[in-house]
Amino acid sequence: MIKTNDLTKIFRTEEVETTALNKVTLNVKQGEYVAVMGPSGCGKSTLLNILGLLDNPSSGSYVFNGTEVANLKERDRTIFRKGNIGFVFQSFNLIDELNVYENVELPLIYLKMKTSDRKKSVEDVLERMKIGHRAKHFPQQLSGGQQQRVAIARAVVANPKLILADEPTGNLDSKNGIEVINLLTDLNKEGTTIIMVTHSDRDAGYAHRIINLFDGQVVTEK
Amino acid sequence: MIKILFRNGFRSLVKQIPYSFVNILGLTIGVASVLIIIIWISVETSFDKFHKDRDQLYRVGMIMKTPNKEINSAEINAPAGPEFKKEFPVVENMVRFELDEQSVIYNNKITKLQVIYTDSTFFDMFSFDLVAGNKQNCLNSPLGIVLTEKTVKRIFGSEDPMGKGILISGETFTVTSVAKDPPVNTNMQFECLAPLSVIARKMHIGWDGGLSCYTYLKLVKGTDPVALEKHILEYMEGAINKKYREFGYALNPYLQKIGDIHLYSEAEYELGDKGSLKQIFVFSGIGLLILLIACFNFVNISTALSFRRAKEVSIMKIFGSDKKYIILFFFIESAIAILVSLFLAFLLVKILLPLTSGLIGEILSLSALKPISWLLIYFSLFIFCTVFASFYSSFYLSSINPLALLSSVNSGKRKQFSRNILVTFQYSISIALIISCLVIYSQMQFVKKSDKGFNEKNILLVNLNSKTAATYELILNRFSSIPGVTSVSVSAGGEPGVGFFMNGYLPEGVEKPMLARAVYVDENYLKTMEISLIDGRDFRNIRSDGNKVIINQTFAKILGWNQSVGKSISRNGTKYEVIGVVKDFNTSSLYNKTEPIFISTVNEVGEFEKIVIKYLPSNLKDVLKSCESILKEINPDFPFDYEFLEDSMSASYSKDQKTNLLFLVLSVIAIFISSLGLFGLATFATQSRMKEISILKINGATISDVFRKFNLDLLKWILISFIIATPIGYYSMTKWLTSFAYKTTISIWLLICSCLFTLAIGLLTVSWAANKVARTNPAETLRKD
Repeated sequence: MIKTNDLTKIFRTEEVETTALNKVTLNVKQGEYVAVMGPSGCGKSTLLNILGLLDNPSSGSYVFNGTEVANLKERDRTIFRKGNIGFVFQSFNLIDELNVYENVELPLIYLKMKTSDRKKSVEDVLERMKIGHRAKHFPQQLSGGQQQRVAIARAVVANPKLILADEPTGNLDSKNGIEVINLLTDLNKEGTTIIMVTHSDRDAGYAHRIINLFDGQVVTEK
Repeated sequence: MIKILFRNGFRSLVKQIPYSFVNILGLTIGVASVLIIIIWISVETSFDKFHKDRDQLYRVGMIMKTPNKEINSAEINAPAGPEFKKEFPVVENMVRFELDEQSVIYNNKITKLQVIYTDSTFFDMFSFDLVAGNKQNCLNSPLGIVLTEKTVKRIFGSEDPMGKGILISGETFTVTSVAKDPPVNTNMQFECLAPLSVIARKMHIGWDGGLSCYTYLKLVKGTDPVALEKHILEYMEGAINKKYREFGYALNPYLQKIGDIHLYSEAEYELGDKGSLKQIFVFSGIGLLILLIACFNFVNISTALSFRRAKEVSIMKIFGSDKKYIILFFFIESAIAILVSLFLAFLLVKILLPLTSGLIGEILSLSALKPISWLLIYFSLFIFCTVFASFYSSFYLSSINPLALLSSVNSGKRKQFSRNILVTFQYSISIALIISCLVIYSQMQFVKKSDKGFNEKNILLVNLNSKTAATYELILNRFSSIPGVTSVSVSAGGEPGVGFFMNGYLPEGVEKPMLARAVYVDENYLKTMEISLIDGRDFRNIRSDGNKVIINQTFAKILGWNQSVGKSISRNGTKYEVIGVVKDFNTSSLYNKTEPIFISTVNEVGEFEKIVIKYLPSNLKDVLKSCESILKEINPDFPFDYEFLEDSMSASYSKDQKTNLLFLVLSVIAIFISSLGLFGLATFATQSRMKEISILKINGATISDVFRKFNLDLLKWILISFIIATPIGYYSMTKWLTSFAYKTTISIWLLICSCLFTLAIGLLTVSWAANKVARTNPAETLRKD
């Protein structure tokens, strides 16, 4: 599903040049659950952003489902992302102005799904995430665990092939963290490919494979 | 999708209520100001365009060339209309009229009316409607008159006026018709129409002087007015000017389309208040500036808030929203606020229109604009404001990488500079407007306080009529004995500071006659008016000094006379000996230079028109009472009709004063909206920097240090605004002052005051916004952070 070859990302400012990713080559198969680990600043999030088509690499190749996507323009990346990739962030990134239902509904709106279909999909996923009773609540009215469940619901509502999770349990207590990992595991069991960046060995333990990054390079794969 | 975008936009507005309030309030006031200006402009540009035959109606103006000056007059000698109709077949019809204020008596009640003396063709030419009577014959009878509805109410109350008689200038006129009140957008603001023959029979009719009228021609459809004008000039050359040219005179009539008169006429002696194209441009400009200032607030506050919205936008982008939706999102959010503003602005205009009408002395109403015009204006305002207000934030945020937007590094600081540019622009406008207001105020003060060469204070003018004028000597005698009256005189031909009659004179040593102002007075006039004699003597007696004249310095200067006393000036074959020269005094308003004036005791007007009384202000009440009872005693049928010279003089500036007041109000609005925007930005800036302020306070900064920190930054931008605005304000006001013959100077202090005033407003606004943050407990802020 994902094939990268010599993927490199260099951040340049007027004075400093930082190599965030240095010739990263990796393959992720459809249905795989991969954890990416490494110390802070090793390039985990940069890798996830490039894999999620939120950013372009400076060089190298990235093939997603047989299509070379390394050098797509912003507009094309958006089109490619829509319905294919779901995101889960450490800080949830829910829109404060929208309630739970509306936050989850967001990806479906951009897919131009009919209102009735949208309603059904959102209600289904909220039930699956056991958050249906909070549909009318706004993010500020929810606990961290609940907010992350909403974020996962939003990530999966459009049935994406890939879910990218950037430290999804980083802001949660252990109980809520385990719940979130269980949700991701269940999704993977249903066939969704998951790539998760994490600092937690416990969370990484749920993955099929762990990729360790250091200074922008893949150092080990287990 | 649109529904969702509307829902989200509405929520955003509610969530950011303080900033939405600043935006909506600013825009509401801005749009309301623009709407009022549009209504005013629509009234000003619609003058006399409602006449059915407007494309065929032309007024005949006249440029009179004389040896010493050229006069562009809105009126022309009475024979012009009938002669042109007779001579030129393309002239289908014509009407002449003259306007005069008259006291009308009915049932012993006196009412002052604007009477138009006109030909019977008045209603054939103009589209004024009657509510009673017949347009065809209402002005045919020599003593038949037409009153307007309002006038009927004033004179007759609920009585039926038709066929009833009222007394005007000692003659009884019968009401033959009732006309609808003339609309606001006509210069022919009549209250009563009477036959022209009433005044024509009392005056000389000819090309050599006498009765002059406003004369309108109705041309046959398709007539080329330029060609007709040429033919008229040829006719005048043959019939009149050939003879007049010998004396240095020429009468050159010209045609002016009825709809162009109000705004484009440059003629003197206009009917009603002249409009001004320049004013329309100035107020349109101010309207646009106010709208821009309000939109800049929108842009500034939206971009300042944009980093708060960054997370929202990046999430939308990450989950599939493309650029188009982001733009639409901000567009709709702005559109909601703008729609609210437009609605509130309409309500505000509705409330403010009566007040504005009173302020500028013109009746403005919502109906001045047709429904389709309202729709077009609202649509244009909506599109303009929405695109302008949302353009920057929507395109800026939609084009940025979502990751950059999610990053906490992006705090909107990069846009601080462009926001400051907009604030600088707003403050430049404000300073330029303040400079303008101060110059206008200073010129008005100059007008009030300047040495006019006479003293208009405590001068009461009592109007005489034919009966009281005949007994003026008795009246003078009785008035002079009233306690509190310090001096009494009599005059005809006009008043200083207001305007005088004009005649042709042939001074000694001059070949061609020249035009000069004229006033007819008695021996107490100079003393009463406090006009200084600088050479020769004053009149001793009205009869013994019958062939004597006093002139002013300007007259002597034009003639090149170093020694004027003893020289002579002829008029209609009579030689007048110059016995004195007075110091120059304003012969009319300060717009015009002092003109030569001929002061004599031989009254060419026929009757004296006014008793001039100098009184002690503490005795005014008693003086008025005594004057009234004396006049009632002499002529019980006529009202005590008086005015104060100061009031008559200020009437010359009244339109200017009203327009200046409107300018002042609009300037205050512009400054208020600018400050509102600055307050919004300052509130935002202080709240965004709460952590920084808390750290500063923990490290020893006092509240005043915090104030200084915010205000120093503002000071820099206001100084830049001052540098931009001063030359603009100085240049435009220097141009404005050129319309006055006597004007104030723009001092450096006035410019500095404008800057200090703006600075004070700015500092106050920012300090107010910073106050709360500066006083917040720093530990509290850092704990939350």
